[in-house]
Amino acid sequence: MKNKAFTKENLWRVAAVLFWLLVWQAAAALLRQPLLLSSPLRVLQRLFALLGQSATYRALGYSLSRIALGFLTGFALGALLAVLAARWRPVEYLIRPLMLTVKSVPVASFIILALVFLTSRKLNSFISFLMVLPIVYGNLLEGLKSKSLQLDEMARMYRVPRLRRLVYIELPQLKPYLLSAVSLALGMSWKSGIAAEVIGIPMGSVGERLYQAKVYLDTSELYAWTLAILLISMLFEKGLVALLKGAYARLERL
Amino acid sequence: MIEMKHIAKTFDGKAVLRDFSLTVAEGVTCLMAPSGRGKTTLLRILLGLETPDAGEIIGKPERVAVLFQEDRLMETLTVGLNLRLALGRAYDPEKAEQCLAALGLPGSLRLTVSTLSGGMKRRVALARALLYPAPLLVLDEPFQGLDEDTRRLAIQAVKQSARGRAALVVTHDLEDVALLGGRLVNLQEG
Repeated sequence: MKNKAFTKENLWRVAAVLFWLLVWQAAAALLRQPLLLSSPLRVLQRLFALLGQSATYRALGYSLSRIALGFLTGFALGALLAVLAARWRPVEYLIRPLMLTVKSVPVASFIILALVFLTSRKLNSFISFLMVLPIVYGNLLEGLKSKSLQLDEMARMYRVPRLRRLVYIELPQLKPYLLSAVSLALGMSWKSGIAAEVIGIPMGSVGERLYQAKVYLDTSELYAWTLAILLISMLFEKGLVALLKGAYARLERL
Repeated sequence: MIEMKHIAKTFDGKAVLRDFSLTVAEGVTCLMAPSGRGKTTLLRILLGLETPDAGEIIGKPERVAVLFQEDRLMETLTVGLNLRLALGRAYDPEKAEQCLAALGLPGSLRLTVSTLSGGMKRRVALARALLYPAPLLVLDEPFQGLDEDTRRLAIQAVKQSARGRAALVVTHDLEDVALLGGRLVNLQEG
């Protein structure tokens, strides 16, 4: 029954995507202005053409490595600050205005500000780091604050060693917050990282290719690159979330 | 033997415990306490989770096996892992299986806690306390949520586990007290 319902739900999802693709195709056919609106078929053709070029992979590798670096450093610092803030209240008060500022200021302002003191090659990492930091910090701090005091007392009474407490009591409680942080932060790091590249235009980046496509009014290429970014971002998000879930599942079976 | 002498505790100006004394000797001591009489506070003081305003505790061992009013199990972990987590090096799968079987839960070591019913979780939490090698056993309403058959099994397991150590059992039920044997202390009487 459950499988049947699952398949039916999947069918609806696929049908909805197909419907909007048809709307897009129909709009492109009616408009007959590929410079303004490229058809999905043309975009797919362009994407496959791009996938046949080694320069595409170089651009993707360049952007991916730098955005991933920003994501990882943002994640690590966000997690560390969340632990410190959960442990010491003054740290939370001290960090709050900083996180609120990063969350409220438009990403474009940060990109332009950062360009004053950073080279364009370092910009995407920095912006990705900056966008990931408050998401991870906020989610993990919430998770740490809502952890069960009752389980803490249980661990204290049974003298559960620190490391075991962390692995078996604290990390499982953080699971939903951690997964949500990864999911949100990954999407954000890609969007902001590419936006930084489009403004900073570092050579050989995906952002540069997007910028060139815009300058030459090559909408098919613009859409194809957008689609490629979307797919890679999705793959990364799903991959990392699956990895984390797998790690948790292994932990729970130990 | 553990002695709680002249214990007093006030919360927000309201006296929860007033000059309460209790001795827990080897074997079962049953503590009868109606709701709101400071039973939880008393246990928390005994466990060292709360500091009394006055009074002292003499002879409290370093290790205490405790069953809280709530099960306090890790829902995503298996029964075996929950036991291993609390018992550490004292965890022996065979002994754990025997204890669970005595509580009417044979072959449940590999089951995930979240898949168990309320009564089954209660018995897993009870097994954790019974298996923990400590000279003092503190059980807060250990039989709540258990049906008649499993309740009797649990009472037998508690009686057996209390041999050679002190056990303080909080209950509302006089029949539990009768079946457990041992001494009865009524918190209302102070």
